[in-house]
Amino acid sequence: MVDLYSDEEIMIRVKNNQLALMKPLFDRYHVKLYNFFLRLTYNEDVSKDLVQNVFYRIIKYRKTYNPEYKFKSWIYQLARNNFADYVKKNKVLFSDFQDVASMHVETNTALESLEQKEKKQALYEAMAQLPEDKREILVMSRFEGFKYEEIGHILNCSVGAVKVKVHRAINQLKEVYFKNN
Amino acid sequence: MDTSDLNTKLIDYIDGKLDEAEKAVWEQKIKDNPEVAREYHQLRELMGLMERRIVQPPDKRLETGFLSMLEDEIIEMENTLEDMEKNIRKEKVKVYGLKLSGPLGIAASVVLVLIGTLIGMFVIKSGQDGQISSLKKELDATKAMVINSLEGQSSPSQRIAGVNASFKLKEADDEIITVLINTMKNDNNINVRLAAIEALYQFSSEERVKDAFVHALARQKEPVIQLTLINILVNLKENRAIDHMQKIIEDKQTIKSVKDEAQLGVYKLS
Repeated sequence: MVDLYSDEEIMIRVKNNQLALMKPLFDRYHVKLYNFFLRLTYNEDVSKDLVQNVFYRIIKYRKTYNPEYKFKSWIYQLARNNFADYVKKNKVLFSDFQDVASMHVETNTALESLEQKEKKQALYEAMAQLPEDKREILVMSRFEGFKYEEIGHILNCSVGAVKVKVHRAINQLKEVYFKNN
Repeated sequence: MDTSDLNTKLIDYIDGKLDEAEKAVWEQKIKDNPEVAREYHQLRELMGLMERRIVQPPDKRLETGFLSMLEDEIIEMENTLEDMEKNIRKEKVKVYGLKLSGPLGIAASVVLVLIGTLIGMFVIKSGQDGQISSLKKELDATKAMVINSLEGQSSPSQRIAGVNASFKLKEADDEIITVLINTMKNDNNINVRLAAIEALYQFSSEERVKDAFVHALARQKEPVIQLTLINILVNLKENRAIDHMQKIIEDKQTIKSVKDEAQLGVYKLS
């Protein structure tokens, strides 16, 4: 029956102390969040810790969940705050995460040419050189496939503002990418 | 047009967000203008690379860690709720103690001790199964806990703890069902009402519980409550709820997510 419930319906029950229902939410979101963090940090262990911490925060702050708010937006807001806290606490900058070469760059070896793989590697290197906010918005809009409206809910800004931010980030990425290559 | 404005249009063009007329204009510009064409090809290459994403699954340690953390949190929460239950019981004992103070209290205590002794003697004498007695006591304690916390002046969290205690009951109990229905209908706290709905769901084979859900859907205006009730009534295949769902759909005050759920509900029940 839980499978039929929306995220919001499950979270309402979690809010009312049915904590075992965190498992279906974990099943629905942990891979997405892991990839979200992986694209921000390029570090598998850090990404796993951050995912774990997001779910810990959901349990701890479950009473603050507002059911009229999309669960997806809420969980990604927690994810962003979690990442910001991590960076602040560890006094690290995005540039410190630039161990791009050691990351398993997402490739499909059976289908992709060497040239394509090199381009992807270059893309990750260029992404790593972007400021935090620009990289984040690119991860959400392009890699995670979020709609501008969804990003607007997460960032608490209008769709128009999101569009401007995304376009600026793409422009900056383009400059870095083609400068490097 | 500077590069930034140019790229904005080109990004929209690549994303397919331009209308037909604008699209035709930019197709022509890409053909005619080498500078525009260069920007276009660079953007297309870059955006194409970002689109081809492969999801990388984390290793199993993430799930193991999560399950372990969840188990700890469940144990911690259960301990907290148990403490709350104990406190409620203590408070009740205090209240009764105050009421029975003075000479009347002493007389009542003597009577209670006598009654207790007689009952005790009877139980020992008749050799009844002690286990049944202890189970009954536990059941009575649970019932008392639920009823006291819901009918008394307890706080919302105490009332939720009371509602949750009803999950210990294996079978439907008339008194408990009545209290839970009243709580679902009348409690002024939305979380308590929601908890009462969840608790009542375990007794949903009872006709009066189904009736109560149907009537509650007609009255409750909070979106969360409406969503939960719609879901439950659909699961119970309760087509008497269709009319109420229709009214929710037609109500201008209803928020979109509830309307969507009600529409789905009507569809599933029709």
